[in-house]
Amino acid sequence: MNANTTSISDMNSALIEPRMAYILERKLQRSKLGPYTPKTAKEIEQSLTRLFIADGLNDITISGVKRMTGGASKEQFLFQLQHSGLAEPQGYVLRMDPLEGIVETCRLREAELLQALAGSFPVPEILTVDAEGDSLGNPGLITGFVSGVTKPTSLEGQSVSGIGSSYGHYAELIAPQFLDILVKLHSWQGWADAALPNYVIPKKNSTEAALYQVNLWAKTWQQDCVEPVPMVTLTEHWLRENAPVCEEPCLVHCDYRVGNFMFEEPSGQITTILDWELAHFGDFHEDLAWILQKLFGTWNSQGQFLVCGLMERDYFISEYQRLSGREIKPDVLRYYEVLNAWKCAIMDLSSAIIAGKRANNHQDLLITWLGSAGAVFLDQIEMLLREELPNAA
Amino acid sequence: MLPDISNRINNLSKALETVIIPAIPADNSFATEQAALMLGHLKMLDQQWDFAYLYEKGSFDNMLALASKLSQIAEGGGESQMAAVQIRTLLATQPDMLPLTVNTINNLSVGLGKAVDKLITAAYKDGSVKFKSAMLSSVLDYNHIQSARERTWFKANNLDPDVRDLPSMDEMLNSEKFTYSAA
Repeated sequence: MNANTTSISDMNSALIEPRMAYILERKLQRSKLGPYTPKTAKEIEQSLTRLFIADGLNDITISGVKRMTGGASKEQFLFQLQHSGLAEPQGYVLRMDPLEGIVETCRLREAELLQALAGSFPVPEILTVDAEGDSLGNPGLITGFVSGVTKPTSLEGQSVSGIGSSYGHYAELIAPQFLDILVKLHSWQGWADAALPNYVIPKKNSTEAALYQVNLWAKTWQQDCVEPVPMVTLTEHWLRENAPVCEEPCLVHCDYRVGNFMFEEPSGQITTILDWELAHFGDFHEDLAWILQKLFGTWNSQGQFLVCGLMERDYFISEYQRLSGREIKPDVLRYYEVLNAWKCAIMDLSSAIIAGKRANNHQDLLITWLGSAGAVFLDQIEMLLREELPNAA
Repeated sequence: MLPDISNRINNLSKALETVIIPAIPADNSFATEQAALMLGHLKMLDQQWDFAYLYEKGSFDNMLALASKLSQIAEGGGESQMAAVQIRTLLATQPDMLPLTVNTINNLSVGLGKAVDKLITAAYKDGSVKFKSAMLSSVLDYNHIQSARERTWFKANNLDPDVRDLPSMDEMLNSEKFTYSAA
């Protein structure tokens, strides 16, 4: 069923990163291969062996394959690899696409970016990538194992995907690092010399940064729509009409939040930033607006809302401005809050539900659960648009 | 008397809790997580199943009222006019007696929703400024009510940061506050 928003021909001529247009088209084809069955340890062992043989490794031994829990979009496994070039077995992580998930992203782009960021940011080391799943059966990425936890091991009240997690006393230790890394990321100029052939940099001083995202998610909604939602359709048009100019596009992580970084206990030191699959070049406000979403925050015992369970909103905004020297424009921030809430509504109300209906995910139960939160984002969009009502149409 | 649906859902939950989950090896966290999600879904299903028709009927009534409202206020160029005519035609062909199953009434809502989507898109092409402004207000008002209903329907999912602001299931299903009016 189509959402009757923008016609397909309009979409094809619109601004969409070519690799992402291909990934969405590939998803359509792969969705017909279901239902998907979670991989067994034995199957993963065989797939990895095929991959490493194709990569030219010798005397390969795969052991200790263990599924990692959590993760609503990728199947993830820990394993030990031994081969003729290693003195002793080393631990790695396989991140592999099911047939469909709550978001459709590209392992090749993720690998390119992690390689470009290595040495400048705490990111997992890339071992290899199987962009089309030629050896693994599904597209996949293998990274080094990084120690740490995504949530304090001693605290209760944790939830699926890290959403709703509370950091307790770790919040004070983690918050400054969380801000520092974000500011550094938005200032990173290394992309100019990096090999990132599957990324597009939006034009400076134009609305492209916003429109690349609107077009990508509008196409996702069109492909995955389960049933029409007037608020989603209306918001798409509002976003097109109100797209702000981005003076200087930068790298944005776009899923920088609770659950997507690891830290050590008891030091609270952040060891890795995870899940770069949604990263692209855009407006820094997009990252800030993502981080500020209510779904990723918690309420502390004093009734204060904490951004990502770490700090109050006003503190986050003022500290970001102080550390970065950037000016946060409230109207642009609000635009990206609308865009991000709309993206989340699309993930929940279309991609998650359709993948669960077609039984094409390794965690159908989890993505259906997450899909039930779609109205939270519709409510958020409504509140944001009402702030602008006199000039919104 | 035959076993009722609540009984059977509760029996499923009990079997999971007392027999199946304890049998999962301690190192199989994936199976443990899946079982916990199953229990959560069963709990929500037990809260929802008896009200599913009432809920779906309310969603249909709200979509019907929005479609009616937008078709009444539509003005602008040819695309907006045509989309409004399509909605009016659809409204005129709605059954006098509504179907009695969740899926069939949902199909009616989907049909209306598609027509509403067409009109929204048309309005952004050639709708008058006055219509676009009124349409925005109407969709926001509809959304305010309908998203509150949907959030309440799934309030047990523990994903809503403002869950404490939501009404009870009974209030959501029976109060006029959660009915969108075309007036």
